[in-house]
Amino acid sequence: MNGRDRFGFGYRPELVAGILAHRDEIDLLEVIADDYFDADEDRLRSLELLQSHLPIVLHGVSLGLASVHAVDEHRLACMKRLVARLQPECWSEHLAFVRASGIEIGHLTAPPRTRDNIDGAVRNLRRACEVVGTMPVMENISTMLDPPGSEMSEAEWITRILEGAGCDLLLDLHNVYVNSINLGYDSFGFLEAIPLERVTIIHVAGGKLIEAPGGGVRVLDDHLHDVPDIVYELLTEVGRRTPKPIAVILERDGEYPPIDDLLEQLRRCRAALAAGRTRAMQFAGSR
Amino acid sequence: MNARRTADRSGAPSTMGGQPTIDAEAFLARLYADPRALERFMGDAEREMNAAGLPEALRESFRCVDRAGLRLAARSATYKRERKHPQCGVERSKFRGLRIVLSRVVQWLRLGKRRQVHSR
Repeated sequence: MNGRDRFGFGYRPELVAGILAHRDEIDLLEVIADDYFDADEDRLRSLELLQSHLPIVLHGVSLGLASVHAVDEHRLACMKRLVARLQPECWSEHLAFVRASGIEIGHLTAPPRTRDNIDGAVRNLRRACEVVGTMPVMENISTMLDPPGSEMSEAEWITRILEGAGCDLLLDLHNVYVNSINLGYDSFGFLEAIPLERVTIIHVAGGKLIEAPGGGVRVLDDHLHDVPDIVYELLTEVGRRTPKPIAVILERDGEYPPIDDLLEQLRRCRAALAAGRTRAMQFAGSR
Repeated sequence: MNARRTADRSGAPSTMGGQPTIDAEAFLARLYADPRALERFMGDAEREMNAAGLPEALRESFRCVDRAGLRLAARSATYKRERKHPQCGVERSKFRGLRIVLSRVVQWLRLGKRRQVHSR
């Protein structure tokens, strides 16, 4: 990663016109790798054309690395081919499982947080690094429930996997907010409990409140809504707590507003992170 | 069962993984992926855990599971599967060959039609 904070979008074909028209305001794009695992030459060339305008990073969604089940070698080979072809700055995946004992969930799912799961995740991450050539940056996911069978907190589980495998963290701040509501913890306290010095990428997004069966509310991380204020506040807090350059990616998966609205949210991200950096400098200066 | 099964290689449990965690992941995956298994679990958790052969050590955690959260999470997973989220990229590749053949047949038919029009 470069030596300054950068800001960009999760690339979606629906946004391409707006992105190219405003590339002076966008530093990088994050491309869903799995969308290109079976891409023909034309689609790969179109991605390379995009890459000639803006740097890209690749983001995987189907490896299911946080599992006692061994990572799918076919998908790893697909990732290897794509990384070799595009040579992105980095690639990332999720701290999730997506299949187990032959059952395909089709969704990023929080596994039971056990010591065995940590061992499996570390093994899978080392294998991924061996095949693809570089270690993925790993993202915390959102969940509607505390996985049954868990032996430790989410923060401890994340920390132990990152330290065991020696990989960086893609910190999804909306997922932190979602889990703080759904699992009932303090999102700022969560930031204190994870190794922020390992954060190289941040995701921001929006979701919606939904009613749970039997009462109460949960937050659904649907990426269909604007970034809520709390996420900007968390971004400021990360900026205050770590001096490391970070790439901030705004994710939007549908119900697209005008590109100006998305750019405005990106500007708020810049301002929020800069505010955190400033606070850290003021604190250092006052000592 | 509605759960889609992958090739053996991708679903094979790691030989070094602890059995309880393997079982917990597999049982949870089934509840997320198979709406009928979820309904059976909601109706009679003990019976579903018996049927799945879930070890006693794990049962208490599933007895205490946040049922509202589980139902919402399973619904979200179903929605994502039906939306053909990017996770399905590799599954789609199985039909890639067929799609290519079909698109070539369509192209060939269109070309033939155009030639007929020109020759008139």
